Amino acid sequence: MESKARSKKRQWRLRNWVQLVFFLLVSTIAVNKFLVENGGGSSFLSSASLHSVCPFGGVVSIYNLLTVGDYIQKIHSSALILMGLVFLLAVLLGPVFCGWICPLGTFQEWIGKIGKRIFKKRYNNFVPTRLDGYMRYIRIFVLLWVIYITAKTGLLVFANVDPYYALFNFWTGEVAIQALVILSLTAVGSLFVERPWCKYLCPYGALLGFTNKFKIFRLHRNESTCISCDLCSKSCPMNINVANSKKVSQLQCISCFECSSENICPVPETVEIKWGEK
Amino acid sequence: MRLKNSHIGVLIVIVLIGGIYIAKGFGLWSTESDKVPIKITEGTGAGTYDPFDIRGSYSFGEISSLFEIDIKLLAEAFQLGDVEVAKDLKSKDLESLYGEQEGDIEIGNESVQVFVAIMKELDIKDSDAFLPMSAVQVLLEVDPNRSKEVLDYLANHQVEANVSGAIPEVETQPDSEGLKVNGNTTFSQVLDFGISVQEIESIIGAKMPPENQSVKSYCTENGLSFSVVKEALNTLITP
Repeated sequence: MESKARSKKRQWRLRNWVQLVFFLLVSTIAVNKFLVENGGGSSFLSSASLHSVCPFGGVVSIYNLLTVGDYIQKIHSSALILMGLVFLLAVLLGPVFCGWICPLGTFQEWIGKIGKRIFKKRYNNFVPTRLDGYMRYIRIFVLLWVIYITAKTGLLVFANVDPYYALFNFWTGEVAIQALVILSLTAVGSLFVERPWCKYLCPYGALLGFTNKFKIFRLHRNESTCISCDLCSKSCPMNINVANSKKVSQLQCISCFECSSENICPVPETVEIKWGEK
Repeated sequence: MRLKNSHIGVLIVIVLIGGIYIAKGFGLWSTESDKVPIKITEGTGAGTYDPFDIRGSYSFGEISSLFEIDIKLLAEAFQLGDVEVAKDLKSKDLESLYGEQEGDIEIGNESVQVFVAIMKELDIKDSDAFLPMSAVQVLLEVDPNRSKEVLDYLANHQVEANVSGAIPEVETQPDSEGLKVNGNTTFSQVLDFGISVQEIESIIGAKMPPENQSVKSYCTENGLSFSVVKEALNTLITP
C-alpha cells in the first residue's frame, strides 16, 4: 500500500497542469502590459492590468458600487465578473480558485517543494498546533480590515501590501516596498510552511473558505474502507486532519483534493468528491 | 454523484472561459476604463457622442477616432506638432503644455471639449472655456460660416497662447502625480491632501459626499463642472 501511495505521489497531476497554465497566463498578461506601456508588447495578448483580472478586486469594490455606483480606482467590470464566476465555482466545489488557479498559491507550492526536500517530514510541521490554530483566524481580520479600509477610502489600499501584485510586478518600480517585503517573507516562509500566505493572511482565501460549509460537492471519507494510514492528512497542504473527518468542510480546505483516492489515498473509493451525501 | 480530477479541470475551464465569453457577448467585460463618451439623448446631435464627456485621460488619437475629426486638425489647433506625437498625447496634457495664461485662463480638457463641440456643430452649452488662437483659426478655416452664437463665443474666448511646456513623452500614472486632484481622485484623498471638510463643502456647495466617491463622479452626478471644482481644490493644495 505504502509503495503504491509513493508512486502516486510522484505523478504530475492535472491540478499541477492547470496551475501552471494559470501561472503562465497571469505572467504573460503582466509582462505584456509592462511592454505595451513601454512601447512594445503584443496587441494579440491581453494587456489588462493585474487588478482588472483579480476577482478579489470585485469583492472590495462591492461597497463602492452599492453606495456611490462606481468601481474603486483601478478596478473594472472584469474583476466583478471574475468574482462571480469564482464564487460559482466555490459554491460547487469549494475554494478551487485557491487550490487550482491562484498563481500566488502555485508560487508558494513550488517553493514548498524545495522545503520538502530540505526538511523531509518536518516540513509543514514547524508551527505548534495550538499557535497554528490561533493564527488561522488572522486572515479573517485581514479580510475585514481590507473591506473596511477600501470602503472608507474608495482606493485599492490592499495593493500596497499585496504579494500577488508584487510577484507579477516587482520589476516595474510600481510596487510598494511593504508588498515586496511581504512577498519575500511569504517566499521564505514557504520553505518551512506550506502556503503560509494562504493559511494565515490571505483575505480572499478567508472569504472563499466559508463556502466549505455549504459547497455542493465535498470530500467524504469512507470509514468502512479507510485503513487509517494517515496519508490523506499528511498530504494536506493546509494541515487538515482528513483522517479523522467523515467529510471535509473545514474553513481552511482549498479544494486541491490531494487527499482523494484518485490522488494520495491508497484505497479506492475511500476519500472521494461526492454530491448529496450527508 | 462522484467527481474526478478531470471533471474539476473541465468545470473550471467551462465556468471561467464560458463566463468570460458570455460576459463579453453581453458587452459587460471591460478590463480598462471605459473610453467611450456618453451619447447626447435629446436636442441637437441626439444619438452622437457628447463632447462634454471627453475626459482628460483621452488621447487626441482617441478623440480623433471617436468624433471623426482629422488628427491633423487637432494637432494644428492645439499646436501639438507632429501627428504621431499628437495622437498619443492626452487631453489633460494641454494644461502643462500651455502653462498659466494671463488672467488665470487655462487651456485644457475643457478647451478640447468646446473645440470638438464646435467642429461637430453641437451645442456648446454654458461652457466658459478658452481656445488658443490656432484652434479658432482652424475652426474658421474648416467652416467660415459659423453661427452668430459660435462666432460671438469665439470672439470672447480666444487667447493668444502658445505651447510653452515640453511635449510629455510618457503618460504619468494618476497615483504618482503627487498632490493633485485628477479624474480618479476620491474625496478621501482630497482630505489626505490637507483640505478640510468645510473647504470641500464650500467648493461643491453641498454637504460632504461619501469619502469613497471620486470627485469627478460626484460632479457628474450633481451637474457641477469637474474642471472648476478640480481647479478650486488644487488651488487649496499646498505643495
